[in-house]
Amino acid sequence: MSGTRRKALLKVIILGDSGVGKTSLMNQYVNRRFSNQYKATIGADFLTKDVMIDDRLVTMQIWDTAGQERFQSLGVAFYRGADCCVLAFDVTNAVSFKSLDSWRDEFLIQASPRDPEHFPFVLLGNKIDMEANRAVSAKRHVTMAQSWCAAKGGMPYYEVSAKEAVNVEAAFQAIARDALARESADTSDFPELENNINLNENNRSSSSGGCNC
Amino acid sequence: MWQHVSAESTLFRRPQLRKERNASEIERDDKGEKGHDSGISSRTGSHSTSDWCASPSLPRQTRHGSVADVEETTPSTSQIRKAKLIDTLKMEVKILMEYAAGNASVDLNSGYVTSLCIAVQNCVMDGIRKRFLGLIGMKTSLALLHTVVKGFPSAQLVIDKTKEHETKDSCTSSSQVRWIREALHTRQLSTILNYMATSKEMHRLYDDDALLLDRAKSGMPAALLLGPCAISFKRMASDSSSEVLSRVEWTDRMRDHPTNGSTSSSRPPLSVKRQGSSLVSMERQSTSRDYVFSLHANYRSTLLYGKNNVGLEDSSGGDSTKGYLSLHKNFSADLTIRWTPNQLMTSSSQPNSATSKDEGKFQWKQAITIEMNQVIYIHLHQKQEESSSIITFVTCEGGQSPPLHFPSGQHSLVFLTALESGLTPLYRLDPPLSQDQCKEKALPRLRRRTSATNSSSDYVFRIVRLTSSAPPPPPTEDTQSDDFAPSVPPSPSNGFFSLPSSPAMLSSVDDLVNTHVGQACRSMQQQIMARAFFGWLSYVRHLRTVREHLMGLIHNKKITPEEDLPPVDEAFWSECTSKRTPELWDECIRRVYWAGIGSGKEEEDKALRRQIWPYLLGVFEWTENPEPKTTLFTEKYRDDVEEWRVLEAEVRRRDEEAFNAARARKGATPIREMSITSDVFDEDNEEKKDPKDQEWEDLIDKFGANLHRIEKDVERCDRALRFFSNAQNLESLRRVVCTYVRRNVDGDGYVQGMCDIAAPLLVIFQDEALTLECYTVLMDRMKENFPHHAGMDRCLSNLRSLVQVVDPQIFSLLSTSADFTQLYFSYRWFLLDFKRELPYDGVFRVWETIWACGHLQSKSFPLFFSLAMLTNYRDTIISNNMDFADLIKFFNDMTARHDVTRLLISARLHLSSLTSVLQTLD
Ligand SMILES: Nc1nc2c(ncn2[C@@H]2O[C@H](COP(=O)(O)OP(=O)(O)OP(=O)(O)O)[C@@H](O)[C@H]2O)c(=O)[nH]1
Ligand SMILES: [Mg+2]
Repeated sequence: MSGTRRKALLKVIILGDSGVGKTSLMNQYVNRRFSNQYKATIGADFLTKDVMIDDRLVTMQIWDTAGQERFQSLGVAFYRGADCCVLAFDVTNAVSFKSLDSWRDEFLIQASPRDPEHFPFVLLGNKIDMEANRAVSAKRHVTMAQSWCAAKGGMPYYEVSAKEAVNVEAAFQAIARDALARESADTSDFPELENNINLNENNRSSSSGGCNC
Repeated sequence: MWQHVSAESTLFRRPQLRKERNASEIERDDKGEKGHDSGISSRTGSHSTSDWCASPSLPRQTRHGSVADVEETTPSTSQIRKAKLIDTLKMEVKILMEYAAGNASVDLNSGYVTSLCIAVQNCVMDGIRKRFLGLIGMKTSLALLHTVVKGFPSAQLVIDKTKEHETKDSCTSSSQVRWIREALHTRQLSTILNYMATSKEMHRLYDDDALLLDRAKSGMPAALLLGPCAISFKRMASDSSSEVLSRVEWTDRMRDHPTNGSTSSSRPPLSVKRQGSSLVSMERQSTSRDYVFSLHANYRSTLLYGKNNVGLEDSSGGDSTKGYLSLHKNFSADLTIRWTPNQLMTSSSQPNSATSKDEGKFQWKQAITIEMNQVIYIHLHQKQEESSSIITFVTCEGGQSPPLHFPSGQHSLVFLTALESGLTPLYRLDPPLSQDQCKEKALPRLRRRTSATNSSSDYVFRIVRLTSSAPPPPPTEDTQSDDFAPSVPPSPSNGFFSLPSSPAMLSSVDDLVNTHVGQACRSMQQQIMARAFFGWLSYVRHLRTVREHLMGLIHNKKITPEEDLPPVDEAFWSECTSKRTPELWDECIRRVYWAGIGSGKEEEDKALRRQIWPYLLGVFEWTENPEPKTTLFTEKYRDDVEEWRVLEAEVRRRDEEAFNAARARKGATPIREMSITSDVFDEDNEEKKDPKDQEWEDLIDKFGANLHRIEKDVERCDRALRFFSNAQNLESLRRVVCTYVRRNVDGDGYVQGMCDIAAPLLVIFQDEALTLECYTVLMDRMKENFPHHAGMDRCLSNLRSLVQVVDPQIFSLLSTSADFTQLYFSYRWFLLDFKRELPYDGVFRVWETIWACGHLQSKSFPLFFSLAMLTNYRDTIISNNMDFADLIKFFNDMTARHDVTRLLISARLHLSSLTSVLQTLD
């Protein structure tokens, strides 16, 4: 049970408004490919990817759900057992940033993780390649997002582009590392039991019983 | 369109999972992206669909639990191992018992026993703690026996015996299992194993997954070994073979003549052409010897009874010839009685003895074979209780066998006893042989005409086939008090004591076996009853499910399958348009339902559908021409578009404003932005609203939100399809959906997926106004399945009920959660009527079937199509034991790869069978 050699499964959920690029991000990370022909997501789908984090082989199972808030009621089935939640917004779309609060709350309610205070979230601001269409300047924008993250218990923030593969790999690597770190912190709470103790006691009692005969 | 599917399979080459971290080049597989209009997300998984089919034992990776060990041992491996151990043991027991059945006693050192002992050894050593053996300092399972003795003192005898023979015959192979051999010999093996499986003291020595700790299997070795423990074993040293006191004469004789090939083996020799001077005699000898060998117990049949010096009366009525009478049971439980003249037996067992050709032929003719399944009556004529008796068999054709003369003594009774037990479980003797207080079989009282006198008596036994509901009558205990019961003195001299295969012969050990067999029978009976009950219960439940949930799904219960109807083609359609009779309408929908529209020519079919679909959807009445309405539709559409254009312009203006305003705030003070609650992106709030403008504002807001959603979706709608790679068609689609939302402004507005439903209609009609009319009709039904309506839950619930009735195995997979979440793989099916699951021509075909079925038989055809989707892949689903995530992945991967024709056939079949169930319920 050394832990370091175990192959683990990490369930990651990507949330955010419709059109922020969740499907694109997932495909960029897993398949290193961007296409403008991805369809609007209906229901849910997931992709898996094996990654080495330090000396540990981890299978990331990345779930991509529909972005329209109407479909949020489905979430309860998909969020179950998540290890990490990725919140995504579109840096050219102010509304998608405003929705982040509701996405985060909704996730915490539906997934009801054991320790909501410390549940790992990551924030991704997507489409940074569309500099000209930015609602706000890049510099100012980073400050907004960072202050929001700081308010939510210091979640990491990455500016990415699914289209041009900027920062996507690094962001997801960090996501896996975070979730893993939390996982090992969890397991270290439960030290291994000494399973010899019981046996030895049994032996002793049985031998003394033999003497009494 | 089918070429697409095959092309798909090459496109489907999934990019292999890359494990290197820093391959940052963007990979664009244009072929992959333009190849098909199917969900591209489906091509990007880590394993392709073929994985599902090729390797059912795929390691499970998709548990929705949190970080989980993937390399955990599958729970079944230890189960498989244990089952193998038990199977081997079972086989060895079976071989030994079969061998013992044909032999008076079994050599304790024979290979049969050794293999059994090794199988036992493997069972007791399974899962033993290594440390235990190390502690004791012995490498064999004998160490276990020493532990057994502590709690089970009578095992000491086995230890003593083992020690004794250790010194005596150290030459024997596999001394490791000697104690097992001795335990078998002393008939203690079964009880020792039982102790090992039940005692806490012993459990300490094993790991948790040891066979002897297995909840279900731990008792099996002891139970299996009950039989072998009842065998009488002999220790055959090389010089002790003469001590064998066998009562089965034939067997003895075979042993006494080593010229018959291998004495130790009961198998017939492979080659018999060793001796003989002439070809003829050689042949005859070999056949006769083969025949004689077939009398012996062998791998094909079991010898239940054998007796020599049984007389056979000549057909001429003269004096009887003496011969060997034997009773055989083969593997299909058929009984055969054979009588062979003594001389033939001798000549074949002594090949060198001179028998003349003719004499042999004559005797050969005399030999008789009676198949018991031909016999219906057995006559027994006995002059006196202890005197000789005559048995005759009557076949179902009325033929009679020559009478068999049994020598005096209880021989005929013993024969009948063997016959009776051989007949079970399929047949029995009527009346059965009764059992007296000494548990010896006796002739029944009933048929005995004169019981008090010593005059002769006749018995007639009928052979009756048993049905499972009528078990053989239990042993009659009441004979104990009956004075008239023929008392057969126990005859210990009876040779059949040594035949363990005959259950009629009871010793204390057999008694043990019998009680266990009795228990087993009872528990089996209970299980059968329970199964029948549960079968009935589930049947009733199914009917209830059908009644409560599925009754309303079908509105027309009188429908006959017409799988060979032709599709609607141009000729038929022009007949329809010229006549427009109700009969033609009826035929038209039946044709659409069973065979669809068109004959596979893409453009012609589209043109036909363009004309027929509005009728199927009810946009036009059957009796009316499209003409007047289409003009109306077009005019109204143009007006509506013009109306919302104004709204659109206003929305655009505001978007622009907001964007510029946000840009202008670039230099605002960072202090305000750092405040957590501030809406950092917020545009300036306009506070100058008066109530009249409020309505307008709301409208603009609402329409604006919808417009943005529609645009987001239209932009991503089937871009791989040639039709939608054209920006103008995309704009058409946007206008249709916008108009729909504008007209239904009090409805739900635009919900993701709505655009997917409009797209195929636009592809067919290529006319925005007509598309919108049909779309509106279609959406009346479809919007029920969108979020915040009850339709989806109803669909999922109905699907679950249907699966419950149709395929309980899949049902058990799907019912692991109380809610419908387990069925979410079908969410998109119901939301979009399979639009995302199939290529466009498949969508056309399925949609028109759904619509035609609505007129014909049921408004719920999508349900039956869903059922077909499930049952079509049931084996893959079940063998992979798919869970929530697996099912979603599987069906996402299967996108656009389904065999639509096959699915339609099976969906119609499902509908037909439910219809007939409902018919019988009415
Ligand atoms: N320029 C640019 N466009 C992007 C980027 N990522 C996504 N897009 C585009 O944004 C649109 C929406 O992307 P999706 O990935 O489908 O969005 P989503 O979040 O999955 O949306 P839903 O499935 O509706 O929830 C598509 O047209 C993409 O081509 C990006 O990094 N840069
Ligand atoms: Mg998506």
